[in-house]
Amino acid sequence: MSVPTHQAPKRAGRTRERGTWTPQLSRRAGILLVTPLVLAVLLLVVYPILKLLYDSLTVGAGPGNYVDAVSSGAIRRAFVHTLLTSAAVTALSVGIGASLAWTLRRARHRVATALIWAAVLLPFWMGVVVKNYAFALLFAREGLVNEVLLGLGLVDRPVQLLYTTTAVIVGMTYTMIPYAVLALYPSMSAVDLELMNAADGLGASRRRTFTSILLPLVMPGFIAAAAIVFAISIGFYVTPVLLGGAQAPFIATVIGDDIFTFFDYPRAAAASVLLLAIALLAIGAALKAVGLKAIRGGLG
Amino acid sequence: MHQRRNRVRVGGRFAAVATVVLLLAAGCGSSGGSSGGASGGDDSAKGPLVVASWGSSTSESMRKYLAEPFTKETGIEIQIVDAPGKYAASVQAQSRAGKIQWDILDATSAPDAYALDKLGLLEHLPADLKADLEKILVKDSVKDFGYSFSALGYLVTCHNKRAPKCPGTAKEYFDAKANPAPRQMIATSPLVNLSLAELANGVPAKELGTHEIDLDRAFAKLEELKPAVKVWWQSSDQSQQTMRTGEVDLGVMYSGRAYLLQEQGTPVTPVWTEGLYNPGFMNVVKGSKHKEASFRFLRWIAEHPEAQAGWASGTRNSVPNPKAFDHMTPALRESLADWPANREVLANMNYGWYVKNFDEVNTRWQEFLRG
Amino acid sequence: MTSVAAASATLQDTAVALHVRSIRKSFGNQEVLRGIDLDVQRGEFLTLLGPSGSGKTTLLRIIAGFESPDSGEMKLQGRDISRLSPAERGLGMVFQQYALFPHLTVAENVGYGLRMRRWESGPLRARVEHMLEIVGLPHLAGRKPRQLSGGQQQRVALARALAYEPELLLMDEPLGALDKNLRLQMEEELRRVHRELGTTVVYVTHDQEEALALSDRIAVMADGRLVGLDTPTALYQRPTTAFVAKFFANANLVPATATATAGAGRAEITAGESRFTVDSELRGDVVLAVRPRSLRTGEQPGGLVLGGTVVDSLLLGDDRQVRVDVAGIGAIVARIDAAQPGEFEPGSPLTLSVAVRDVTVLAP
Repeated sequence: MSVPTHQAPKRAGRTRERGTWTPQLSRRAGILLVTPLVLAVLLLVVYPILKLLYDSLTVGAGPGNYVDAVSSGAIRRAFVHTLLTSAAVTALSVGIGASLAWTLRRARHRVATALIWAAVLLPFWMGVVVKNYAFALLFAREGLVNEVLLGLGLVDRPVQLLYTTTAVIVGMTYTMIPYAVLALYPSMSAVDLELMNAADGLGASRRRTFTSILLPLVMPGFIAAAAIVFAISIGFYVTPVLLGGAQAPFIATVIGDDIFTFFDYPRAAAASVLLLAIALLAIGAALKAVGLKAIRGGLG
Repeated sequence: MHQRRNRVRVGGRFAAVATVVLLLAAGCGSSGGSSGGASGGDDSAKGPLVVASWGSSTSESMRKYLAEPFTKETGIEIQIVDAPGKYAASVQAQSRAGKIQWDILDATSAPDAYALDKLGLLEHLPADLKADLEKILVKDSVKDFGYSFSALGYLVTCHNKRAPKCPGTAKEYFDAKANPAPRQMIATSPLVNLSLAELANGVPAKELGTHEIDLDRAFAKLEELKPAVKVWWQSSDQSQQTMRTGEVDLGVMYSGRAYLLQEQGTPVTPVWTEGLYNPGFMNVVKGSKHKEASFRFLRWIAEHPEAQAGWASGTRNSVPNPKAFDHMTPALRESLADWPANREVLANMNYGWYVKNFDEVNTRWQEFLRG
Repeated sequence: MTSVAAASATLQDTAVALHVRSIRKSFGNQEVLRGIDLDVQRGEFLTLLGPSGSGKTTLLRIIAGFESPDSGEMKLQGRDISRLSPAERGLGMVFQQYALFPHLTVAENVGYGLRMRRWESGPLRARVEHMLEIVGLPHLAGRKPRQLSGGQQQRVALARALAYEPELLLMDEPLGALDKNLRLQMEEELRRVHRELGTTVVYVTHDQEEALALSDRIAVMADGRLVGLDTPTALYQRPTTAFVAKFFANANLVPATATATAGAGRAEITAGESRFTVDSELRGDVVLAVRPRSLRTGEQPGGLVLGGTVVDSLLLGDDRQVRVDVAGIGAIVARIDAAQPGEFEPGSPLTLSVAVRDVTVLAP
C-alpha cells in the first residue's frame, strides 16, 4: 500500500507556490505594520511635546519663562490648588474604588455584580456636562443635599456647597472612581482567595490577614491606580471651574487662559512643561515602586 | 470554483480602491467647503452669514426678530453661533490662525469692541452706510467700527426676599460689613469691576467716563469686598441661575437679564442708580468673506424700528433707533438703558483708558481673581 | 507503667482525635452531606476517598472551619469546635493548590503560623529550620514560592501546616497537581513525616492507589454518605458494598441470584452456568464482586466460570490485562501473569474462572 504524499494544491491561474501561513510575521512585515503607528506617535505626541519644551526655553523670555510662570500668583495658586485637590481626589477615588473592586471580586450573585459594574461605569457613559450639571443641581443652595440636611435637622440654614473645593473634590471623585476601579480590579482579581483561607487556618485574625497577606498583594495595584488617577486629575479643565467657581481654577484652565485670552504663549508653555513634569514624576515614581507589569495591568 | 474565488478576490480589491477614493474625496470635499482663500469676492453678497451672539435670550431674540425676517426678505441665510464673553479672544485667535469664521459680532461689549478696533480686527463702515446710519440712529451711536446696539446697564440687583435692604449706591454695595449677604460679580470684565470700585471710592458718577482709574486703590477696594463675593459669573445665564437657586442674594448683573429674571418668576429689584452704561456694538469682523451681505444686514437692522422693538422685548436691552420706543410697551421702555430716566443716573466707563492699559489691567485682574 | 503515667493515661483517655456526628450540609437545594458519622483515632492517617461530588472536600472544609454544617456536631480532642473560626481551631491544612503566600519567602511561609502565635524570633527560626529539614528543603529557605517546583512547593505547604504541631492535619488532594513519579515520591515523604511526627491526618483524595499507599484507615464516600470505613486491606478483600468493591478494588460486578439452601447463613448462588454455595444472608438478586487479579484462565470446577470473547489485551509490564465480553453480563476485566501462554487476540474465545473463596457476595 503506497503512502499518500502531501502536495500543495495547484490553483488554476496561479503558478507561484504559496508558502504556508504562519502566525509569526517576518521581520520586514512586522516593521512595515508597526511603522504607521510609530510615525503617528512621533508626529502627534513626541514632536509637539518636544516643541513645547523647546519653545518654553527659547521663545519669549527663554528660561525666564519659568520664572514668569512661578512668579505669577495666579499660576502658583493654581498649581498648589491643583496638586492638593488632586491628591484628595486620588485618595478618595482609590479608597472607594478599592472597596468597590473587592466587592466585585467577592460577589457571588451575578445580578449584584452586574448592578455594581453598571453603577461604577455610569460616570464613564455620562458626558462631562451632564455630570457637572447634576452636581450643580445637587449642591445648589436649594438643592437636594441642602434639603436633606435641613430636613434631618443637621443644619438650620442652607450650607454653601457649590463653588467650594468640596464640590470640586466630590465631582472629580465621581468621575475618577471608574478609573480607580478598573485599575484596581486586575490586581484584586489576581489575588487567590484561598490565600485568605490559608492565613485564616494558620491562625491569623481578619485584621492580620488583611495587613500581612491581602494588602501586600494588592499594594502594587493600589500604587498604579493612584498614579493613574493623580496624573489624570491634575489635568482637569472644566469641572473645577463649573463646581468651584472662576476664582479657583486648576492649572490647565489658567494655562488655557494664558494661551487664548492673554496670548502669553511662552509663559503658558513653561507652565505646561511644569505640569507635564509633575505628571511624569508621579507615574515614574509609581513605576519605580511597583514595576511596569502592575502599571500596565492598571491601565487595563 | 476557481472562478468564484477569482471574482471574490477581484471584488475585494475593487472595494478597497473604491473606499480609498471615497475617503479622499470626502476629505477634499470637507476642506474644500471651508477652504480659505484670497478670492472671497464671489461670496461677499451671499450667505450664509455667521453671527456670534451671547446665547440664551440674546441669541434667541437675534434669531426671531432680526435674522429670520431678514432671511425672509433677502434670502440670505444666517447662522447664529453662541460665544458669550469670548468675542475678543476668539476673533484674535481666528485672526492669528488666518481663518476668519465669524462675519458679525452681535452686541459686542464696548471694551471688547474698542480693543478689537485698536487691534485692527473690525471692518470699518463704508462711508455711505455710515452717513445713512447717522441719520436714523440716536446721537453718538455710530462709530467707525459699528453702531451701538444692545446698550445695557451693569446694575446691582437684589433678591427681594433674601436681600430686602438693597444697596442704593456703589458705596453701599461695597460695604460688606453692613450687608454681608453673598454677592456675585462678573468674572470676565475687569473694567466693570474696577469702575464700580472707583465709584465706591468716591469718584462722582458723572466723571467716571473720563476718569483714569487708580488701579491700586480700586483693587484694594475690591480685595475688601472679595470675601463676600461667592460667585464670579462667567455667563449671563449663570448670573441668572445663581439668583434663582439662591447661591447669591444680590450682585451685579446685566439689566436685561435682571428684568428677564423678574419676568420668569424670580422676584428681584434692579438698581439703576450708579449702574454702569455699557453700549454693545454691532460689528463686522475684518476679513469676513461676506462683507457686503454683512453690511446689508446691519443696515436692515438699523432701518427696522419694529424689529428692534421686538428684539428689545426679548432681551430687555436697549436699541439705537429712537422710533423703536414707539413700538414698545411702557413697561419695556422703562427697563431699557437708553430710557432717559435710566440713562441719566447711569455712569459711563472710560474705554479709551482701558484700551490703553489693556495688558496691565488684565494681568492684575488675573492675579486678583485667582492669585 | 508508673502511677503518674497511668494517671495521665486516664486523663487523656479519649483516643479519639476528631469526633464527627451527623454532619449535614446542603448548598441551595443540593444535599452534599447526608449525615456523616466519623471518629478519627489519635495518630492515625485517615483518608476520605470518593469520586468527585461525593462530598469529601466539603466535609474536610467543614472540619477546617471554612464551611459551617447545617446540623451535626464536631469535637476535637473532646472540645466542641463547631463554633470556632478556622484560626481558633488550631488545625493544620494543606490546600490543593498549596496556597503559599507568593510575596513571602519559604522560611516566612513556614513560620507564618508561628508568627501568628507570637513566637519569639529565636525559637521561631529554630522551628522553621527544623521543619524545613524534615521535609528536606533546608537550602531553599530564602527562595520565593514561584522559584520552586511543584513538589518543592508541596513540601513547603506541608512544613507550614505542621510547624506549630497542630492536633490535626488536613490535606485536600495535595498530590493532584504532580506527575506520577513525583506523586509516588511524595507519598513516601508523607508516610515518613507521618511516622516521624505522629500527627493525626485526615486526607482527601479520589485516587484509591494513593489511599491504599498512605492510609491506616479509609473512609469511602459516595453521594454525601459514608459507604465504607475500614483498613485498606479489609476494604480491598472484603468490600461491604458493590460501590466500594467497584470503586476501591476495581472489582468486576457479576449479577447473580441467591436462594436459600441447607445450612443456616448459607446461600446457593446461581450465575449463568455456575452454581455454588457461600456464606451469605442475602437472598434474591445479588452481585458478585470479583477482583481482576483473582481470575484465572481456563475452567476451574466448583467456582465461578465466565466464558466469552476477548475484546482487547494490554501488556502492562509483568501483568496482562484482558477485557473479555461475557454474554449476558458484559465486560469482565482480568489481570493475569504476562508470561502465561494463551490466545489473547481480540476476537478469540476465552474462559475465565475464579475460586469461590475469592468471590464476595454483595447486595446490588
